[in-house]
Amino acid sequence: MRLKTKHVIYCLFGFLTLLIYAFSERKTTPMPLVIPEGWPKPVYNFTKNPLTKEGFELGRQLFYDPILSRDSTISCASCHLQATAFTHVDHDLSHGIEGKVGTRNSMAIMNVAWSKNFMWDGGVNHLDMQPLAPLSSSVEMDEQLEQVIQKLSRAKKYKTLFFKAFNDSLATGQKMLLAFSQFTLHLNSYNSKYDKYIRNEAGGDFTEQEKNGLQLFRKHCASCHTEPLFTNQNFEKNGLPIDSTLNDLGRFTITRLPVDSFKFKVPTLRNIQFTFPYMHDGRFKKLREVLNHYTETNALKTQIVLSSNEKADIIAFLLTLTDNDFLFDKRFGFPRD
Amino acid sequence: MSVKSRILLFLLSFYAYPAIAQLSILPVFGDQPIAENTWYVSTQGDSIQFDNIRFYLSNIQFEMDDKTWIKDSVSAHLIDVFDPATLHIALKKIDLKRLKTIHFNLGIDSLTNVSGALGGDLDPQKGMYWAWQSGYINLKIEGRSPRCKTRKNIFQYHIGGYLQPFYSMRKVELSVKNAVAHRNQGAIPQGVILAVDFSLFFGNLSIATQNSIMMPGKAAMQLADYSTSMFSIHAPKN
Ligand code: HEC
Ligand code: HEC
Repeated sequence: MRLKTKHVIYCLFGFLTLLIYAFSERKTTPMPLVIPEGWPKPVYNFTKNPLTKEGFELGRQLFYDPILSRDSTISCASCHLQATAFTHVDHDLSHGIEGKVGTRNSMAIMNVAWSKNFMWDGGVNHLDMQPLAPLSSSVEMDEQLEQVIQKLSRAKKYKTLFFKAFNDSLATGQKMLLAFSQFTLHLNSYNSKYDKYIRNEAGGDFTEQEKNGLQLFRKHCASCHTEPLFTNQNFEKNGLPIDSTLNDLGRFTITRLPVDSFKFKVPTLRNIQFTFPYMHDGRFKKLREVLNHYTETNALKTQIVLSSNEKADIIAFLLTLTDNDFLFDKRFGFPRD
Repeated sequence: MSVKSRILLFLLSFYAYPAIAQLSILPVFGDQPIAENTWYVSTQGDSIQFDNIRFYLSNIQFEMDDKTWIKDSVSAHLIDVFDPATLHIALKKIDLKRLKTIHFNLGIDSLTNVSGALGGDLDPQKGMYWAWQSGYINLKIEGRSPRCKTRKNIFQYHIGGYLQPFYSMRKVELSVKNAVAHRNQGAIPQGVILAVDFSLFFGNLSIATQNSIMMPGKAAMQLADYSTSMFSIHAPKN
């Protein structure tokens, strides 16, 4: 009789330990976003997706993994390379699966926590939802979300990564999307020569030409390319004549409002030295061509007049937006494990 | 939470809460139930077959006869006409005899549409989300009709859009007073039946010319207007 009670007690005890184990949560390590001094408040709502080291690592693995595409050849990094501020260098229109050509130039991924809408036309309304577009596009990665999730659920590596990040090894669309955001949110550029100049730090000494370029920039360009993010986060018309082979109406495609015809998301100009070709269709290869466009008679409502030297000054200034700390940050690179 | 109360909860969970009542969705076409590989004829004389019908019911609320309101604990249910498991929604602690009006949204509200990655029935993995122009698809009806001169005679209606002026979610309000009395009380005890009659949707529409609506806009708004007329309730009468 005594023995039996003992057994029962042992059993109960074992059961209890199991229970406590089952209810105890794995700890994740917080990895909050760096918000540089003087910058506005980010748009992204972190309370719904608190940034952690484990979430970031899962996001990074996903970003560099071609498993996400139908034939396992294309990853996000195929079109978004770190060395060029996460854009597709030297391609006017991005190409994806089986070499198919898309209809737009790939965008740089930088400081996305401050963006409200994504894509050239702002068709994506939240950073979390952005990966759905390349994943399902037949010219990009061409995979159904359901299949992606199945592939991830079968991979042992991802079971572990999902468990570490979310305390649950089951892959779901929601968790995958949150993890992508955990990675891309950290792709922040705030250590260019320009930033050091503003912060009065070592390495931030501007030449007379760069200073003059900044002044001209503030006068002519900053209404749209507003500091410190170099975008006002709006959709604007910058006077590019329409490319009749693409007939891209930009923001109009989403809102169907005639006033939005030919408006595009104002892109950041950070690391602009490396994000060529420029504009939504990649029509310009050189910054000089961009400036020549802006001084055409009908480009903007109030015409910009710049001498050749002034253009050179603006370009000199734009080159101070290169941020090597960002471009070579090992945390953002291909995960070698 | 203390370990004690956790264990208590754990043990309690073995006693599956008796669902006092349930809301059952009954998809019909006129007086026929909707089934796969079955031809239906619309009031316009079009022959129609369905391959896929899915829609969101969200923010379901029950207005009781004492003016209290009871909110469904789940914010959105994805109903798949061909997946019977989705056709029953358990309603806890609702005394159907006192039920006055059922309120719900057909589709997903604009706030939810801009809230980022969500889970459960709202996980974009469910295939009710647009990738290139963010937003939930509120109602998907896909099928075939010889009247559609399209590839494989396919028609596709994907109705959604959360931005004004093309906000396509619709509020539906159904009073029990106007409910049709149950015919099959035996099969569904203590339940409210929400009948969805797709013949009313197709009675409005000329499928020969309107057979592919795949994005927010005027056409989607019009179909959203038609779609509310499909719902009616059948409740037990005392
Ligand atoms: C085939 C090339 C390609 C692939 C693969 C690709 N992208 Fe892109 N990406 C683009 C293009 C092109 C755009 C601009 C699209 C548009 O405006 O229509 C873009 C835009 C973006 C933007 C918007 C930036 C902004 O500021 O609005 C983000 C973020 C992004 N991509 C992340 C990703 C992620 C994450 C993946 C992997 C799931 C991915 N991309 C895969 C080509 C690609
Ligand atoms: C009216 C608002 C506006 C003004 C003013 C403006 N821009 Fe832009 N800029 C835009 C928009 C919008 C785009 C994207 C257009 C597109 O791709 O169709 C753009 C694109 C660019 C790009 C290409 C970026 C990339 O990643 O492809 C550069 C470089 C640029 N602008 C520099 C300048 C400079 C320098 C000035 C001042 C001389 C200036 N902009 C003034 C709105 C403006």
